[in-house]
Amino acid sequence: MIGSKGERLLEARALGLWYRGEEGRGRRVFQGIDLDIERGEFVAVLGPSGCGKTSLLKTLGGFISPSTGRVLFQGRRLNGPCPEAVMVFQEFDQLFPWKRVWSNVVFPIKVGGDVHRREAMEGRAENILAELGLTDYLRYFPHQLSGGMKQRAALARALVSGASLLLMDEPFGSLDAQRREEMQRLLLRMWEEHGFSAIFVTHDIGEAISLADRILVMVPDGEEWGGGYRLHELPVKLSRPRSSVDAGFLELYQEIYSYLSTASPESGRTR
Amino acid sequence: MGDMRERDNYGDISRDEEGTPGTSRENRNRRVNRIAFVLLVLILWELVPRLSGISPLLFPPLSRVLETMAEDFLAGTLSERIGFSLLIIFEGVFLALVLALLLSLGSLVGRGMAVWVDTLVVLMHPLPGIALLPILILWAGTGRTAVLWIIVHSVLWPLSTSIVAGIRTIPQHLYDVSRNFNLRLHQRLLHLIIPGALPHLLSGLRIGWARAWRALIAAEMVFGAAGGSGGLGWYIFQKRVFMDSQGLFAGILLIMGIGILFEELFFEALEKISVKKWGGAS
Repeated sequence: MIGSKGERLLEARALGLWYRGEEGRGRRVFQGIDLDIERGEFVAVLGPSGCGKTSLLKTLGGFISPSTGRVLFQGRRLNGPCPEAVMVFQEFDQLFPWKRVWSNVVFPIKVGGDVHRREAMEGRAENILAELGLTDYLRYFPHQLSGGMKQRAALARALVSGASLLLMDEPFGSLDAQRREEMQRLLLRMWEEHGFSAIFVTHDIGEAISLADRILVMVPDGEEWGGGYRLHELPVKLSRPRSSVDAGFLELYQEIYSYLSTASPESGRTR
Repeated sequence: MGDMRERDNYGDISRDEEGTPGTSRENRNRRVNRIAFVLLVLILWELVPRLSGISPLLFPPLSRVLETMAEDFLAGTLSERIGFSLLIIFEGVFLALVLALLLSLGSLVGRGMAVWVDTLVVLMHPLPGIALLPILILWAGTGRTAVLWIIVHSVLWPLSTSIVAGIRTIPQHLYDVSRNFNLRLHQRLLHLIIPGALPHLLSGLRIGWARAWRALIAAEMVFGAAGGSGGLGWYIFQKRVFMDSQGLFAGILLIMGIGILFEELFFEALEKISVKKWGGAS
């Protein structure tokens, strides 16, 4: 089992997912996944493209119901998406094009019940927007923003919602290298300040090492590829801030790299 | 134009800038060119009948047409006709809009309903409204009601197609976001479906407007109007009876003019305050 002590936020047991294919033969995406996420923990999920990282993340968030097993969130069984676990996508079209940045960001407050706390929450939203450097862009429509700014706004929306878990699906995957690093630093700062938990999906080994407490590598399960994936855990025992030229960083990078290349579908059989 | 300047201010952060320098000048040139062409046609309209000796009964010069138009305006008949036409079109388009919204929302209920709605639209869409006229007269008599339903018919199907297509273009991520924040049905409509489908809805309305206009004129020309009142089609119909060719041309000019007015002013303005502001290209 992957996971540890501390207060448990999310718990997945025997999680499996497959899609029904033609002639009754399904495609297995992943199987037998047991996973615990602690409150305040930052976990990265690493794997080659097309291995089902997004499906795993969406299953953990309740967007897809698993074929086997169950997900417990804050001790309760997850039957669908909930505002406590918010997804941030890679694509830039996750903001409502017809709402200005401000309306997009306070959207969770607007639609989520509690009228009395709205004012206090809007104050909080202003702070978050300032921390993310968006204060000057509140009146802009999404199409007037750069990709990096759009992702900041999406992150701001997730934070404003007060979610305790952020499910991030390669949120910086469409940004150039410089923006990506900038966003990583920003994300870590927000994480340290706001204390949410994060499951961060990426195919970039360096990104996973710089961000996460633990890295879960998706590896093919069984003798033949096509049998679905399972998770292999690697803790990251490096102090923050992490530098990509640090010896420990490079060592871990090498380890994961060789692990991924022996386990990749191109290599045919695993190990 | 103002839109262009606004965009340029954001140039430093904007990712995909569609406006290249010179576009606004190109637009202005186009507009000038267009007006020049229309003026040229109008001048020829005045000169050709006068210089060629064609009988004014067949092709009256522009000034005579405008004269008749002014007379009929002053007499009050023309404004009455225009008012009648516009009112019945507004009614028809509004009714069609309500029905189209109901149909497209119905198709959201479930896959079965979607197929039904889609089939209904596919069956009805190719049917010209005017073909329904005899049946509608049987059902509703030769009055305003029959004309109204022809307008509704000619707007409803293209509009429904547009709205359904609009709903389908809403990005999956936005649906995910609205699921994520547990939007209730009315919130989903208000924040997601309606604004998401709006660009297509507006272009559907544009098409619908043009079709309604055509259907109305056609219906009035075929069987006139009941009780002595009617719209611009009826105006032309009457002028034909009295061989008033100046009046015929006046009617045609007005139909064109009103069409352009709505196309350029009303729909342009509607798009400017919504779709274009959101970065849509339509």
